[in-house]
Amino acid sequence: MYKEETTQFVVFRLGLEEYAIPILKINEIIRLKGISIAEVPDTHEYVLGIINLRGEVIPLMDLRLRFGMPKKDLDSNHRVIIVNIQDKNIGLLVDSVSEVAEIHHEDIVQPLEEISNINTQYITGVAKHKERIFVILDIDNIISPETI
Amino acid sequence: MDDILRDAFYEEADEMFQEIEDALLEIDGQGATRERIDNLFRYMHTLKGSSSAMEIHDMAKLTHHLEDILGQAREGELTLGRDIINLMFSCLDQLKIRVAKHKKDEIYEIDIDKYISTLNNLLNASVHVQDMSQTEDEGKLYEIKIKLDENSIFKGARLFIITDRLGKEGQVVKTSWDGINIEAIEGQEFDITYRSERTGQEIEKLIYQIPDVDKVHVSEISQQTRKQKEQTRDNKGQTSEEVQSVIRVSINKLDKLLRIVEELSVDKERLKQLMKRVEEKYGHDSDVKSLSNLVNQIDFIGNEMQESVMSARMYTLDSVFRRFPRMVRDLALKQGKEIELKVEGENTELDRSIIEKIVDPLTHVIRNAVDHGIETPEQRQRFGKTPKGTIKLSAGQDQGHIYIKVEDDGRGIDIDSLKASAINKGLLSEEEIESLSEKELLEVIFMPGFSTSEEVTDVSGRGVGMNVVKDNIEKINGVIEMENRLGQGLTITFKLPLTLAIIQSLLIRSHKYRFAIPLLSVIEIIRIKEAEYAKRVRFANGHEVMNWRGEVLPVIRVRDLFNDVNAKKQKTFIGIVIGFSTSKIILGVEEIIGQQQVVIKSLEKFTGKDNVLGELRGISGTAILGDGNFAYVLDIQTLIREMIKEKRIKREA
Repeated sequence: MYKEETTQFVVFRLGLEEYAIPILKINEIIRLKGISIAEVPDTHEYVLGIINLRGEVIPLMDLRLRFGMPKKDLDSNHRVIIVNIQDKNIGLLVDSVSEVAEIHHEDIVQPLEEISNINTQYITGVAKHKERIFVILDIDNIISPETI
Repeated sequence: MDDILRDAFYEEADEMFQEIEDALLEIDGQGATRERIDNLFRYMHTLKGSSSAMEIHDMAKLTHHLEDILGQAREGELTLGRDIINLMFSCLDQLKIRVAKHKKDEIYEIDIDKYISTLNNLLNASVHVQDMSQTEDEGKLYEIKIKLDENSIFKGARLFIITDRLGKEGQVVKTSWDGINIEAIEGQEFDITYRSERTGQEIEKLIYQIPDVDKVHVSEISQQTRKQKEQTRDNKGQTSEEVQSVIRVSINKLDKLLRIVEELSVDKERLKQLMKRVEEKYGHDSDVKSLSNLVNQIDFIGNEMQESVMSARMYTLDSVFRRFPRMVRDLALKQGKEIELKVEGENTELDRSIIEKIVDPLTHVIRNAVDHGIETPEQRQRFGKTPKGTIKLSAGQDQGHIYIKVEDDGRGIDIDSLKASAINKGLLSEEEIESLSEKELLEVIFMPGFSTSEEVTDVSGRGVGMNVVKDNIEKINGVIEMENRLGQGLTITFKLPLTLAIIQSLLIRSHKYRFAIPLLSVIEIIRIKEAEYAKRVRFANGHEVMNWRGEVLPVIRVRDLFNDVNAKKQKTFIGIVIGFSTSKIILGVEEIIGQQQVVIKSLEKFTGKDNVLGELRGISGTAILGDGNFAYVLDIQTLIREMIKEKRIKREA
C-alpha cells in the first residue's frame, strides 16, 4: 500500500474546454430559474448583476465574458457555481457542470504556455483525468480586473 | 486581582443589592421601623467594606455616605421620607451599574458629587421639617388642591410643569403622585404640600397660568396639622417603584433575530402584493376576504415584531452624552474659557450600532464648539455677550428620524476668513470661490485638510476634522445640517435613521435602474411638464438649473450619472429637491414608484477599485424590495460633492 493524495474538484464546461475548481471553495450550485438578475450600473461587462439568494446579495459573473469568450444564451444546462472568494460569495455562470472528480495530485502539472485560451494568471495547473484534461482555475484571482 | 476574590465580591454585591432593594421597598410601603433601618445599615456597611477592599473607591464613598444617613435615621435624627428613599433607589441603581461595569472591566465612575449633594440637600430639608422653629424663616407651609380639566391628555406633563414652577418659588415637599410614573397618572384631583414665602393668592395665580388647570385651592397648614402630616404616611402611590426584571442577551443573538425579522418583512411585503393581485382576481370570494384579513393581521404583527426587536437593540443616548460635561469643563478650563454645557434629550433611544458610530463625530463637533466656537470671556464681553458661553447638546425624534444637535453661542463661521483659509490651504482658487454661494462655501469645512482655527490646538484642528465627521455620518445614512450665524454661533445637526438596516425611502426609476433615496433628505417633489420646461429650467454653464423658492439649484439627471450619458434630456421629468448640510440639488428622474420601507444590504464587500463591482460611485448600498428585487440606495452626499468638484474642473478648463 502506498499513500495517495487526492483532492475533489467540481468540473464544469465553458465552450469546448473543461475546467475545475476545488470543491472546498464551492458553497453550492444553483440554476437561475426563477431568480431575477439586477444589473448594476458602471460595472465591467462580465458582471451580469446581483441576485438575491435567500436574502443574501450575490454578484453574478459570466465566466465566459470574464475570460474573453463570446456570450452564450442561457439554456437548460447552465449553472451558477457559488464560490467563496476572499470571504465573499460570488456566483459564476458556466455552460454546464459535468461532475465531481477526485484527482490525484501527481496528475496535476504546471500549465504550459498556450494550454488554454484563457490568461495563465487564472490557472493553477492542468490535470489529466481518465483521458480528459481539466484546466484548474485559480479563482481567488478572478474578481479583480486583468493585471498585465 | 485574584479571580476567586472578584467572583466572591460580585456574588455578595448582587445579594446585598437585592436585600437593600427589598428593605427599601418595605420601608417605603410599611414605614421605617428600627429593625428595618438596622438591616439596611448592615447591608450598606457590608457593601462599603467589600468595595473598599476591591478598591472601587467611588462605590466605597457612596456607600459610606448612605451608611451615615442610615445611622442618623437610626438615632432618630431624621426621618426617611419618600424623597430620601427615592434617592437611595437611584444610588442603588448606580451601585449596580458600577459593579456590572467592573465585572466587564469597563470604565465607569459614579457621579458621587451629584448624589452626595442631592442627598445633603434632602437631608437639610428633612431636618428642617422636624425642627419647627427653623422653618418659620423659610416661609409658610401650604396644602394645595388642584383639579385638572378632565379632558386633559397631558395630566402628568401638566403636574410636572406645576411642580417645576412652584419649585422656583419655594419647595415642593410632597405630592399625591410621588413615585407614580408620570405617564401612569390618573384622576383629576391632586394634592401638593408646598413651602414658600409667597402668599396663598400668589400661589393660586401662579398655578392658574398653567394650561388645563380647572380649580386650585391653597390653604395654609397650621403647625399642629403639620406635625400630624409628617407622621401619617401617605399610602397612595404604593405602586411606586416598578421592579423590572432584566436578562442579559448577547448582541449576536439580537442581530440574528433582527436579520430573521428583516427577511420576514421582505416576505411580508411580497405576500401583501400577491394578496392584492388575488383580490383583484377573486375579490368577491368570502375565502379571499378572510385570507385578506389574515394577511393584514400578519402584516400588523410583523410590524410590531420588527419594532420590538429593534427596540431591544435600542440604547439611550445618555451613555454617550454623559462623557461630555467633563470633557467640556476640562477643555474650557485649559483654554481659559467659561462654558456651560446644557444637555437635553439624553433619554432618546437609538440603535446600538448607530450609537457606536456617532461617538467620534459628536465628540469632534463639541470639541470644535469649545475650541473654535466659544470665545474667551474678554472677547465675549467686547461683543456685548455674557462672559459665559453656552453649548447646548440636544437630541430627540422627529418624523421618523433622530436628530442630535450641537448649538453654540460663539462666534460662528466668518465667511471671509473661511475664504482666505481655503485659498491659503490651496483647497480652492480665487475664481472658484467667486463662483460659489455662501452656502456652498460652508461646505468647504467638510473638505479634507481644512481647519479654521489660526493656531492648532492639541485637541482639534489637526486638519482631519469635519471631513471625517461627515464620512462617518454618511456611512450610517445620516445627514449633517449646518446653520451659521456670524457672531452669534453655529448649530450643527446630525439627522440619523432610527436603525441601520431599515430606512424609509422614496423609490424612483431612471433608465433601467431603480433607486431608493433616503426620505430623510427629500424636501419636495416637483413635476415638470414639457410645456413648462422652457419657462422653469434655465442653463448655467451648459447645465440645467431651476429656481426653487428663490434659490438657484442645479438639476442633476440621475440618468446621466449612471452610464447613460448619451440619453437625450427629457423635457418632462420629475424633480426631487434634495437637501443635506447646506447644499440642495434637484435630482431629475423619469418616474417615482412610491414611498417604501426598505431593508438595506451593504455592498461594501464587493466594491472598491479591484473588486467585483468596482467603485460603484454614487451608490451606498442596495435595498431588497417587497417583490424581492433590488433598488440601489443613492449616495446623495457623494453626488453633490462630485458636482461641486465638477464645477471646479469646469472652471479650470
